[in-house]
Order: sequence, then C-alpha cells, then structure tokens
Amino acid sequence: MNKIQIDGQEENLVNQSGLLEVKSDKCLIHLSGKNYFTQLKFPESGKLIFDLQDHATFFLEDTWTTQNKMGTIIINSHNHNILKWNLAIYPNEDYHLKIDNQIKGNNNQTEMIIRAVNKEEGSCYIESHGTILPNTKNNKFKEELKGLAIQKKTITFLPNLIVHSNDVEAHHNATIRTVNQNELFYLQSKGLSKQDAINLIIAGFLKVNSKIEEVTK
Amino acid sequence: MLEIQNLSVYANDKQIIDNLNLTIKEGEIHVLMGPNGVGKSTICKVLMKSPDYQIQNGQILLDGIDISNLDTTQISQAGFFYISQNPIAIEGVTNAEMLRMALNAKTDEKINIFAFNKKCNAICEKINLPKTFLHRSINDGMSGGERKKNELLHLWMLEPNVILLDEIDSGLDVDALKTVATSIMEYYREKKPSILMITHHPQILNIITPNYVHILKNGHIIHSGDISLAHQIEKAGFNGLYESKELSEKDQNE
Repeated sequence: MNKIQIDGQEENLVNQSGLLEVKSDKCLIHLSGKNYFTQLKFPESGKLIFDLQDHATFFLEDTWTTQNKMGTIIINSHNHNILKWNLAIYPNEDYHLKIDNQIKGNNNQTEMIIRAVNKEEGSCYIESHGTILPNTKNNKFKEELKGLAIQKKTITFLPNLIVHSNDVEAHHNATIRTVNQNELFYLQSKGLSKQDAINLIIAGFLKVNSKIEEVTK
Repeated sequence: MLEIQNLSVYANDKQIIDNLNLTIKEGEIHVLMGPNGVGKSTICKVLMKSPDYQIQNGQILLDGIDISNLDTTQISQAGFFYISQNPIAIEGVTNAEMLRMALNAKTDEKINIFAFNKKCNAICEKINLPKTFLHRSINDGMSGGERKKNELLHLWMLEPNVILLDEIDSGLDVDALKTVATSIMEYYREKKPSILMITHHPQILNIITPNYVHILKNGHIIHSGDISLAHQIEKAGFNGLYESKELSEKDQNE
C-alpha cells in the first residue's frame, strides 16, 4: 500500500483502483512508496505539486481531454525516484498545459512521454520543462513530445531542458506531423472510409504504451 | 471483367501512362512486365485511385460500369485489393482493428465478433501466420516476408474479386516467395478472382501461372503473349525483346 499526503492530510490509496482525484485547484501532494495510476483527475485550472519522497515511484498512463486543462503541474524528484508518465492528450477545445519536472536529488529516473492530437475545435499548447539542479548526481531524464496535427488548428510544443549538473544523462525531443497520406491511402485501399481511416490513425497514435507495466512488476 | 480503355495518366505534369488498353476477364491472370520506370506500378496505383495520379483521358470499367470516378474506398469496396511492393507500417493500429472496421464498412450490419475471431484464427492457421499477428500493429516491426504474409491475411479476410500485385516478389527469399505465391494461387483456385501482377522476375510465374503476359514501354503495352514471352525476356532481356519486336514491325511495314 502506498501513502499519499494531500494538503497535509494522509490518504491511503490502494494501487488497484488506479485513480487519483484531486479536487482542490491548488494542491501539494506527497507521494511515497509505489504509485501507479491510470487516471489523474484534477480541476481545470490551478497548480498541482507532486513531491516524491525518497524511493517513491510515480507511474501514470492516462488520456486527457479538455477537462484536464491545467495551469501548472510541478513534480519534484528527490532521491531514488522513478517517474514514468505516458500521456495521451486529445482536447476538444483550446488547451494549455504546463509540466515542470524538478530533479533535486540523486539517482532519479524520469521519463515523460506525451502524445497530443488536436481536434478541429481546439489548438493545443504544451510546455514541458525539466530542470536538473546543481550538485545532483547520477540522474536520468527523458522527455518526448509527439504531436499529430489534424485540420487547420495548431499544436505547439515547448520542450525545455536546463541542466546544472555534470553527472546526468538527459535528452528531450519534440516532433509534430500531419496525417500521413500513404497511411490514409493504405487504409482506404482496404475499404475504410477516409474519416474512419483518420479516426483509426488518431486512435493508434494516442494509444498509451503499456511498457510501464513491465516496470511495476 | 476489368477493362482499361485508352487510359492516359499524369503525375506532376508528366505523362506516365499513354493510351493504355487492357482487358482482364473474370478469373484471368495477367502479368505486366517491363524495365524500371515504364509505368507498371502506376497502373496499379491508378486502378486503386491513388491521389498522386490524375487520369487525363480514358475509362476504367468493371463489369461494364465506369468506375473511373470512384475514390479509393469505393474501389476497394467494389472488390479490388492491392498489395504494394513495400506495404507500409501503421503504428498503433492492429490488424484486427483494421479488418473489423473494413468488414463493417462493407455491409450495413456490424460483423459478429465471435465469427470474426473464428475466421481470423482459421486464416492464420491456413497461411501459417502466428495468431499474435492479429493484435500487432499493421506491418510494424515486421520483416519483408512477414509484411507480405500480413497482406495475405487481409486478402483472405476481405475476399476481393480483383487482385493487384505490385512486385510482391520484391525483398522475398526463395522460400518466402514460394509461400506467398502458393497462398495467392490457393485463393485463386477457391475464389477465381481476376489478377493483375507486376513483376520483373519470371521465376514467380512458375507458381502464379498467367494467362497473358504484357510488355510495357513508354506507358503503354507494346506486346502481349503467353508465358513464353516471359521466357524470351529471361533470355534476351527487355532491350533484346524491344529490338526484335521493332525489327519485326519494321519488316511488316515494309
């Protein structure tokens, strides 16, 4: 059983439920032990701070739509933390999300993979910041942003990586593509309508990678 | 019956197919041969209404009905099936998902999931494809031979009447080629579709035996014959054949 302390009050959450729901729009959450969530619910705007205690793990696989349009999410890693987020973001109106990873200690592994598709109705703006603080050692940091732009609305990524340490393995990348015409032709040549083909490509693109499960075993 | 009449096709303002005429009756196997760049693959893509090509002139008829203005989806639902030289991979979209959607699109009723699974499993066994392929992303992480086998899964599931094979021998070793070609012939014997096959190499014709062989040059068919024409190409090459045909035409004109 892992322990979560929200706003100074200790909450016990059984892993199997997979849901972490935050109702306050400004919240400090202390995580210890193993934490694996398949759903993170929070208010539409505000600030959410996760503070990982030593040796805590934090895995999240989720799909976010406009209901999860947040101001800022800050994640503080201290020592021996493992953080793996695998997010699919599919907003149906204009969307702005900021995630800020602060690596404050040693021996941490951070992997943040975000896939975003904009629907016709919404533009998508995602900032993902990583800061490796001074005097930290033996940290690994990976940040990957992938976008699929549909119709005429935009996707904007702002990947930012600031490294103050000499003992770190850190990388980030961001790519945005449109629907591949060869993929469309291929699926239509099997008999799918153009819209069904696009929907299938989007669903395939957003499909959350279940590799995180291997780590939790 | 598939009829291509006086077909001229452009791509990027360049003429690729020039006044092509070809008739493939139901149950016939036709082979198109020719050196690189003469327009063979273009014919298959045009038949599938690839958006990369524009029909300038001519018609395509299926059983007497003009299908020139249909789009790719409609052509496929009319019974066409296309295996390209290098089938592409689509990450995140499984074979099962795509096939279920394709079959649902064909009929007004939703396909029964149990019947679908049963058929998929039976076909995987028939073509010696591991059942795990059903839940793998289409062609993703697969070798050339596996991709072609994957396409065979689609073929058997979708049951087309007109099959377009664009250099399916490309990238296959001897054993893989035999497996793929044998499966196509097995489908042919069961369902008697029309087949148009593009190939450079006559070896595949030992398994997929054509009724007619056509030689393409400068975007149109310059000579047609039976399988012996393919053997002539094997001996003399395309240039040798062109020269002998041009010489014999010159003799006739004189």
